[in-house]
Amino acid sequence: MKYYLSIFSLMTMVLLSGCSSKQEQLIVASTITNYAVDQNATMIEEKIQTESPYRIQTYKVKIKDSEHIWMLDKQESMGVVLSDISKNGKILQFKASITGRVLENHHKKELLVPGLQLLVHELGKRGHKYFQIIKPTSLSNLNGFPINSIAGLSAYLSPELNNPSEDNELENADGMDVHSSINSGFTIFDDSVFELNILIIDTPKPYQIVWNVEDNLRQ
Amino acid sequence: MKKIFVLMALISVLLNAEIKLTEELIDNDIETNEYQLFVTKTVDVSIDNLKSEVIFTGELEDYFEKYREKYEQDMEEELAIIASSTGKVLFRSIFGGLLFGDNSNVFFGDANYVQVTDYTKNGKFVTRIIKYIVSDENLPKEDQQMIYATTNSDNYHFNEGQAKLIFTTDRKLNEYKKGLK
Repeated sequence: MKYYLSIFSLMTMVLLSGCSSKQEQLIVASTITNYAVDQNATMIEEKIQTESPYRIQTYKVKIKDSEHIWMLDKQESMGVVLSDISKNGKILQFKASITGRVLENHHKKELLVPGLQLLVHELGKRGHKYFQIIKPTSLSNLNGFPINSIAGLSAYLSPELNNPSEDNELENADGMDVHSSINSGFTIFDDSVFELNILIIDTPKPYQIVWNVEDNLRQ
Repeated sequence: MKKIFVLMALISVLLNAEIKLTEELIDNDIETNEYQLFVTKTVDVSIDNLKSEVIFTGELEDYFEKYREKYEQDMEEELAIIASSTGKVLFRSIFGGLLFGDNSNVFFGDANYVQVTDYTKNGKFVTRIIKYIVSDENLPKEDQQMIYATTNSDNYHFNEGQAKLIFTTDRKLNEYKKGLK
């Protein structure tokens, strides 16, 4: 019995990971590959502000058959923006919103990892080595939040996907969130937009908690 | 291509691996059924032959308070540069609430504990290791200490006597992974 259960859970894991990585790739691909536009994404805005050197590019990403992952209706679309929000290029921002919709906490959780991947790729392209999350505040390394890897943050945000105990899956199916702090952490932010801000660090101090770009590109 | 397959296999093994916990952790009746342990090393160097000193053990929130005070002193220069480059309004929106705001409402619900250990050589700071426990229930100090004392560089998820490796910060393993790419 246990043998069948483990095969079943393995298959579920494979399916789950397959679905989520496909979605993540979609978002990432539509925005980072030289900001190229694939068949699922349309660039709706590109502007260089005259008063400042900020470059802002906005993409409208239509996500097909994504109800189960992003909880979007088929007509809805997601806007993703990656921009420099400081003159010296030290702060990068990932911003996402869904047309006419309040972002639920689970949206924000699902957006965090692809957002980070996007930022990590962009930093790698620009040749930066280290950064810190400064927003959302609940995950801010500047404040001392200890996790500094994509694998760790994914597990922290969705422990149920990494649950070693089979018994607990039933509990999660009933809608019990294992770590409720994540939901409460995000409720203090603006509900219509998800923002992820990072600070680029050139030379980290020995005690500073920083993300290593190269290490996280491989996760 | 072969390397990619090997790397993928290695990663999947790592992600799905059952890890061996020490007998202390399994045999003792820990207050909580479920917790996650995350290990962070600020500078990725070997800690062999380094002198260690635990500088903080307790709740994450208290560590934030302590860290923040020191941070404000140490990073004054950097913060000033960022403030001047982003403009005051933006600076306030990003850093204002962050450094001077109240963070206490962020982490309710779960119990969050850290142990912070500094490693030095000849009296000079080399690296810091932070062990971070996110637990479903409040953990007595003895339980926290047992987890800190019986773990090394593995990040894992413990639930009802079983544990799964999230990833490892083991340097040799990471170097091996780097070598494959």
